[in-house]
Amino acid sequence: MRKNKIVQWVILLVIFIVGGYAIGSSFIDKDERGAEVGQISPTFQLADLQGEVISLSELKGKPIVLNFWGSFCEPCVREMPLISTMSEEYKEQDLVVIGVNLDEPKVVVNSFLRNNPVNYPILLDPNGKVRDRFEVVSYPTTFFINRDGEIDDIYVGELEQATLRARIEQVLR
Amino acid sequence: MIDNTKCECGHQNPVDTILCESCGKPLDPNDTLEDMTLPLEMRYDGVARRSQKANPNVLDRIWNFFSSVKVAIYLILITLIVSSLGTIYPQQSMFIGKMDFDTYYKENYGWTGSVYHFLGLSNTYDSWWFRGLLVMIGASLIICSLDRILPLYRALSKRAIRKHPTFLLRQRLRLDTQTIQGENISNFVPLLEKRNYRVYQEEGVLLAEKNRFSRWGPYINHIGLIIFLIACLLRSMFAYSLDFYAVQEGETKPIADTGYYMKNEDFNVTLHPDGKTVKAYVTKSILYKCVDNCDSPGKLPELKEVARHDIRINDPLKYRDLSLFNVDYDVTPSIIGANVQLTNLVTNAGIGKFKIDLFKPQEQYKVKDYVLDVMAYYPEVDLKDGKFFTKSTQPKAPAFVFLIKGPDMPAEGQVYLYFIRPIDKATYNQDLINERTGSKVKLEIGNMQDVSISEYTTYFNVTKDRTMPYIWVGAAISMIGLIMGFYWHHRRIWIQIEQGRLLLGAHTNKNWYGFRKEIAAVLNQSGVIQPLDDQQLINEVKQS
Amino acid sequence: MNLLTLSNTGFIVAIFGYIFSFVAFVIAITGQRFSKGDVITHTKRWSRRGIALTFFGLAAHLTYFISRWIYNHYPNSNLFEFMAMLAMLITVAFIVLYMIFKSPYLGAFAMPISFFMMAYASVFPWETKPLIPALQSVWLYVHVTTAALGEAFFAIGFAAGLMFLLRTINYHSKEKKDIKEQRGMELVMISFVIFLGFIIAVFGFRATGYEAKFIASPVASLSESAATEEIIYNLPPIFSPTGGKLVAMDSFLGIDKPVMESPSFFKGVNAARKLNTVVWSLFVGFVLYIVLRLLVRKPLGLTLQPLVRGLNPEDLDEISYRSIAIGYPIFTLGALIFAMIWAEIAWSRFWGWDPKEVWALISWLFYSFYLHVRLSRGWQGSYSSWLAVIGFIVIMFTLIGVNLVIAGLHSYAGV
Repeated sequence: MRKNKIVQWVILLVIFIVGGYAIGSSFIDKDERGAEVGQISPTFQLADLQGEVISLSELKGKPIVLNFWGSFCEPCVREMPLISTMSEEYKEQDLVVIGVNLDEPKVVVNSFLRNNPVNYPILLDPNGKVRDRFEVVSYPTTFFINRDGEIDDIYVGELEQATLRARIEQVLR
Repeated sequence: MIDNTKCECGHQNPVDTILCESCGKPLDPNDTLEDMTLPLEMRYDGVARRSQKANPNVLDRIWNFFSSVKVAIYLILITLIVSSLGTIYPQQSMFIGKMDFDTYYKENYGWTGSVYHFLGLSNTYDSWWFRGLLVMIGASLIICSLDRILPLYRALSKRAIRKHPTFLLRQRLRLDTQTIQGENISNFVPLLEKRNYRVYQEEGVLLAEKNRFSRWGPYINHIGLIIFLIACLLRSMFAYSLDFYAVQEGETKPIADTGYYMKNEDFNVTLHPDGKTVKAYVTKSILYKCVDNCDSPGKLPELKEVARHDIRINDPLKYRDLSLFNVDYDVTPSIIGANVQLTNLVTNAGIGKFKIDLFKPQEQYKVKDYVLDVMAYYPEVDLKDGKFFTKSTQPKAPAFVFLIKGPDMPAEGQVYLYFIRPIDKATYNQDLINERTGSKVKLEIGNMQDVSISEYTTYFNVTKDRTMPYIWVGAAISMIGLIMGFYWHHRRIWIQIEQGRLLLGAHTNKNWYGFRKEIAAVLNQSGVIQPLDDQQLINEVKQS
Repeated sequence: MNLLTLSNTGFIVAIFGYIFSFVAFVIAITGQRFSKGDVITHTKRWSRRGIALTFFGLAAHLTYFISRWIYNHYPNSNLFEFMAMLAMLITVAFIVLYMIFKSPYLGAFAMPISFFMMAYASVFPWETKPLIPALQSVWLYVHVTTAALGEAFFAIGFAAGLMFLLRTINYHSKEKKDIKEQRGMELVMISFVIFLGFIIAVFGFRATGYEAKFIASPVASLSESAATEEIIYNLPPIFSPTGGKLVAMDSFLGIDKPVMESPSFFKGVNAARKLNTVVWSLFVGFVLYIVLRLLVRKPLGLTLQPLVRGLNPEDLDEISYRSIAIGYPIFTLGALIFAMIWAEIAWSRFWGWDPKEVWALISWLFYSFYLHVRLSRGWQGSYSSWLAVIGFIVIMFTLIGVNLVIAGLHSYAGV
């Protein structure tokens, strides 16, 4: 009888744990790689046009503006001079601005930047791996990451000076 | 009060036994005289179920809850109703990518849609409560089965041949009659054995039994279902899947997070003779594994071919636990490669050819003594405000600006505008512009064979999964159990002859009709009693 | 003779074969009154004729099936072909059960299911079409055929369950339970008459060549083909398509305009036309029902009751249960396991909660419910017969209703 009891407890316990897991896992977002406001930003390592690698995790502690763009995307191109100016303006306050190109060939990016120079690093994202990790589906998309590495805001669409400034001020805090 | 559970035959039964485990005499002291004519409750032959105990504690209560068939029936009913609610409107999981579902359901289905979404029915099958139902069904399957397998085993293995007369006469099929041939019970043996019965005999009594294994069918089925459910859970934990992974013809693309790359070498569609309906589509594919530089930015990964397959619908590429399924395709015409001829305009002599990969053009091309630097590249060229730009990353209308250096050319090089498609060449006056800069060379494509065109993009679903075999094993076991349980029937016949009186009781779990006919045939062939009609075997008292 | 003509002829001959076998079975069970000879010989003789005619019908049906198979492909890829196959398998299931129980009564109730199923099938377009790539798999034949065979046994279970109810419902009682049962039976009869109404409406207007034409509104269409589409009604439009424009309409009883526009929440392929058809079926069905009631002056269930008088209810219960017990493993294999195997090969996931899949699961759960409920005392007989009847309604909804009302991956499969 005693032995039976133990067997019964064990079976119930196993059902409880396995079942609990099955039920609990429905709460977990299936895409845990997702990038959402309030979450810790995914990290990446990408090379710029000169082949120099920039790693997001090494920039921890600094506020970051991460801009996804492509030369084929008109609003992206339009907002780049603004981002450039802002990058200059907030340089002293530790702000890091990074542009991630949306899987365009190096020659395309090169020739584009020759005609439209910017003063922040542009990284190449072959096959759009980082784009997918940040779940970027429309362009331009700009991520504002605070000093704790948390995503403070995501802005989809062309940035205007006031909106950009407000968001930068927000992550600088 | 402690019940006396000892039967008059001397067998000590566990508490709550309904029929004596040994002789089958009904043990319920509350049975009235009227009850005595009712057919017996023959489930598990009246053996006490594991969960039925006096003074239940918490453990017993939980156990009892899940071991009840009634609870199982309610669980099935609730799952059934909830599942049907989930089919009223499309589920969220049918959509790919992030969406604002609040607005979607509201705009498409009005306030009912809003309520549907609010109640969580738009995500029925992934919700915690639906999972909870499935877990409870799983628990019920396990505990119900455990709770019954042992008593059933006990009941079936305790094969006391001599039963209490009440046990016989209270079966659904029974007979109480006079023999015409005395006591020769062994007359039945060959007749029963011919019908595949196993016959056990004692003085004046016999038990014939067949297909006992079919009693295990439901439990084997339940074990299969449990394996199936656990395998489903494992699959949801470990399986990798990627939907609508698009690869253009001619493109080699990594499969995210797997370390594999695939190349869409060639894609073909064939039509039915009616010229409209698609008959088949095939993607000639190569699977590569990345062996080096897989995650080093700025370096090209090193790939090794591991598999090749012509993927069709219903015929995926399989390599180890990775599978690639064709699910759809799109017409996306673009130029993916060009073999360009460099010609000296003065002598009109060909200098040489060079190859451009339009997905990944080089920064510089060399042809003999000439060097061509790529100043700009527009995959899908367009003009706006006097400036060239690209409309997309797809090489649909590729255009280049080269800086060409070489013999007879200025030292700082000469700018050369080059459009691959003849139509763009004409639209943007390529030759005119280049003439104005005084170009001494020209770029052109000899014939169409020098251009590789990609017409289609194939969409794949990718899965990486080791759990499928367990799912099939579960399904197979379940199926075996069903077949055992439904296509064979456990039949038992008890016969006793004493002083010219024949008592017969018979029990089966299914197909009483066939069983009745069989028994009547055996009795009539034996010549032991007067011929009878099979209707006479039915216990007169109707079931409530 | 062309294979297709042979096939179509086989189909028609099969319908008549089944109707004649039905008549023979009815004579077997009722004709004793007219026959002068021995009742048992009479029943035996006409039962033998009935089953012979069933086999004849089945042979014709197989001719239809095989010649269409050779002509085009395995015929189960549109609603006409599927329903025709289901009718054939119902005949097969009936023969199996007849071999076990030798009951001509079963024939009198099962054969109508077969030939009405065929009449229903013939409402849908007969033309042969090439298979789209997704359907080019052996699993199409294996999955659909096995599932349909399981469903065919459920159909026989339904017929026997219905007989049990007709036999046992007490029409002379005013007790609550009996009144409920009488109403339930009448509801089953009404559904059956509406089903008939659908067939009559479609064939009636088809015979007159009725047609009304609309141009669909280009908006609100999720499908890629945004081009203007013509919608043709073969029944006079009570409901016009939402936002659709009337192009031409034959006048019907002086009405030459649609009565109203269909509500905008009816979405999906041809939703308005389906709604229109449903309304017509209901209308014709109710008219037919009223006419029948005026003719017999009592509930239809009561009218049929004398047919099954003298049957042993326990045997009917047994037939119903046996049929479902035979069908259940086949249905599990065909509608769930084979379906999963195919889905795994074609779509990369063995289960995707597509509405059709969910409804197959619901049907399976329902019959699991039935089988477990039968373990309890007091649930055999009347209750389980009701469940056998409801179960078949669930099956029919899974087969037809899901395509009619809910769209999904299986939507290419018909209507």
